Amino acid sequence: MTEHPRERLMAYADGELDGEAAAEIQQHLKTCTECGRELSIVRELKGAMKDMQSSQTRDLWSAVNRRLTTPAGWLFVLSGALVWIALAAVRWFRSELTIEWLATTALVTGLVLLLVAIGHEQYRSWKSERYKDVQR
Amino acid sequence: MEWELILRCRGGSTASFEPLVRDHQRQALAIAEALLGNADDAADAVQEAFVKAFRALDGLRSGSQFGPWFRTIVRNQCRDRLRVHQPPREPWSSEAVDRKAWSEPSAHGAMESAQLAESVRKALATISSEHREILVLKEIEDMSYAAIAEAMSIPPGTVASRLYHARAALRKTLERRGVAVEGGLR
Repeated sequence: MTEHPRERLMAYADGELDGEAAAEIQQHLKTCTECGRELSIVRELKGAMKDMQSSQTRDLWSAVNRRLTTPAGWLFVLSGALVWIALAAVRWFRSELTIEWLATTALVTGLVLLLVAIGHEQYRSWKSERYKDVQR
Repeated sequence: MEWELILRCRGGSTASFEPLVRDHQRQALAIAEALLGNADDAADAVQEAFVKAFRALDGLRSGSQFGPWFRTIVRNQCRDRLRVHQPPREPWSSEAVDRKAWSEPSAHGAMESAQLAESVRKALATISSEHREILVLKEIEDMSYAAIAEAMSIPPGTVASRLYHARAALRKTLERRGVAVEGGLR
């Protein structure tokens, strides 16, 4: 082994060489200070990248949970608004649209949506309850 | 246990997803931060990846591990982000790193581990995405050369060579920033 086996040194540092190939590198390292230094550097870089993982402290669960549960609420609001607009359009074409009707139906639609949203939330909480099957 | 949680998630239980998020977020954040070079972008990408994973759990083969599957989603999410917001790179080509760079003595002393990790984090953002990715697969995900070859769709024989160039590029960037890596810390 007269040249510096740089790529095989990488494989050695990464634990990818089998017994014979690893022994050959170990033999080379006994006489080559340059490769010994290079191996130390590779190990230091590997350790520094490992440290990147241990320094992560953020907790993403709240944000992820919000993202997973929010869309249902928006779907309720959107579908309620669409139904209300469609009914208002029908009455407008029939020339039956009045301010009183708009106010009353907006209030009723809002209340229905609120009740549906509360019911959905209760159901979701029950379904997501991890300990619901546990006997108390 | 993990598969039981996955089945519950498939049934719509978001609470069953919580242990999976808590178990995998640390490694996922490290991967994303190494690939994107920014902690806030990394948190956004991992968050998005968790949401995508939850919605795609039906596609996870029965008995498969969540971790490797999820980390692939994280890497793809990071790739998509990089396509839109490519970070500035240093003008020199990392492929052209002089092999002698490994042997040149550094003018500065060795740094403490934590400082070096922070410097490596910043330096990673400036090397090529191929080099960054292979370093993430090896050092953070701890994958074998065979698994890396499969994940990156490259021949197994290319992995050692690409890792060599990636580490050389990383070290060169550190040295350009006045950070010496002398192998004395570990």
